[in-house]
Amino acid sequence: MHKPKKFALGQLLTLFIFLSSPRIQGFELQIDNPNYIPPEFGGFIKMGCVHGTKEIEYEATSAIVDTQIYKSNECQLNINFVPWNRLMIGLDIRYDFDREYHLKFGPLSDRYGEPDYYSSSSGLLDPDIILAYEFRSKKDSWNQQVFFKMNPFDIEEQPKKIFRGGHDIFLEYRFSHQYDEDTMYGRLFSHYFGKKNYFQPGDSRKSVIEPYTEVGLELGYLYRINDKWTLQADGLFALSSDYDVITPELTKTADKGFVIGGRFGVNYKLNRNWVVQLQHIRSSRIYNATNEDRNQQIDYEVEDKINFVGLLYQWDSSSFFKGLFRP
Amino acid sequence: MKKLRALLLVLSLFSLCATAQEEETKGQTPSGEREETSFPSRLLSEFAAPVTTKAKYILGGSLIAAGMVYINKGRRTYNKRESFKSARPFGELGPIGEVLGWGFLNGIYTVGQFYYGHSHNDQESLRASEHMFKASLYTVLSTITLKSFINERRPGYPEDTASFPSGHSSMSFAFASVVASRHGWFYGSLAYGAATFISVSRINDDWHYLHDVIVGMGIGAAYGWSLKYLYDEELPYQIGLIPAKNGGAIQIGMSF
Repeated sequence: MHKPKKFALGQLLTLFIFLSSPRIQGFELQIDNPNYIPPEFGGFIKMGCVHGTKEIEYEATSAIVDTQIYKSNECQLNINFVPWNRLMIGLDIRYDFDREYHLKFGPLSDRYGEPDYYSSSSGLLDPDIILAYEFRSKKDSWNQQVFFKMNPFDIEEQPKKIFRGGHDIFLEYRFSHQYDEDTMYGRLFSHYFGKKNYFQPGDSRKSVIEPYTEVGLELGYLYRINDKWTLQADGLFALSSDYDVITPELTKTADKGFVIGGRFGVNYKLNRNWVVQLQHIRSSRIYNATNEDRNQQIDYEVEDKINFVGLLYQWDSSSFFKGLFRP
Repeated sequence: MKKLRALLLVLSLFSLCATAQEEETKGQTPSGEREETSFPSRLLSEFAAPVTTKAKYILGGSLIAAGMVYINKGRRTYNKRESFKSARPFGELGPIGEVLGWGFLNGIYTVGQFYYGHSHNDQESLRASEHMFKASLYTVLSTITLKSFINERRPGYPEDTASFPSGHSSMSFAFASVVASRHGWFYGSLAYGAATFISVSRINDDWHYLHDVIVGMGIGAAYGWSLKYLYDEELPYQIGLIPAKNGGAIQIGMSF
């Protein structure tokens, strides 16, 4: 007779054998690859500064209802470590040291004629935890991973919450393919953005962004100029589910949307362990508004521009750990 | 209730597949060679291949992604006929995807490979033709079954209740997956590009929600790849429904 308990143990055993078996094939990624996972007991740190602009424009029949502009300056610290086989754990922390918010009212807004609203803020963004697993590939030229990231913490309700926080969950299948010296990389992703409640400084009225999801594909190419320099370029296309924003001024609802984005980056390897990284990222989100008169042509767009300057450092502590457990 | 019915249907199909898988396993000789299995059992093995082969990761991934979309789908909009122009990534090109997604690509490939294989006595082409035919057939059967059990209204055409899952997406991804599995990633990428265009055009023209399309993609891709794995004689899972006095049990076995 079949015993469910034994079956569960069997499944666990199979899973353990699958995960603990050594990687047979597949090529090693280098630190300048966006999908990089270090070898066992290795790790890497990414330190950098991010300057970003987010412009949210809501237009009806080519006349602006309102425009929101966020400008941010963040410090980023991303720490990753591989404690076992090919399983990577990580923590991503960002501190926003200078964020500006600017709200402009257009001719179709009820508040048209009022002066523009400005505010500034700073503080810690909700930290992310990262889990990634690199699994075996039958072909030498392929590298595949499952990547998971989420922010389980809910630090505070500030205007910066619009960028990060509210229990966002990122689930991705990542792949890299080596072609001579160059590498093609990409990811299939599903990003769930949790509900975000936030306040503007000096305003007790709450704004809400309802949960929404983006599903899409990013494809990129890493061109190796020589041992030191690499260029990277990638493009992104994603589709979005409902996107509803409730602000004190206006409720904006959308039943779908799409995202087009791209990134261009330059990497310079200082030595085996250190890499300098420069990146420019742009994306545009266009939503289909649902709460307006059908005779009006609504344009509901969110544009992001991000510049990143960072340093990557990788280390290998395998000799330390192996020495620690040696009898 | 409808969802429960769909679940029961899927479970019954799994149980039928289980019998087939069991018979197939029994059909192996001690030396590992396979004896001829009966047509119904082979049919059922192939029908269940997306969950009994490695393609279960494709199907599972698409179901998780679709779940992440569906979980926050609070506001449903059935009150309009079409989207704003600016919110349509393919603009007025949607009807091209509509026509291509009716299975013409699958049909042309099947007939073309069959004709070439028959006239040049090329077994590989004949097998590719069979692969595409089966992948398309099982995909259509699964899609129609799900459509008939889950009566979801279309976003732009609420009188029509065949939104979930997207048939265009499932057929086009079955096509692309067969091409990728048989002709490599160059042609595969072109085929996946065409399949993505067809799938996104369904959202573009308000025929489907995002989760309809993702599940459709998953079904098609899972059939395309799983049948390839069966052709490569991968040992599958064995799933069985065991009747008992006061109920029943599901048994899952895995060869590794």
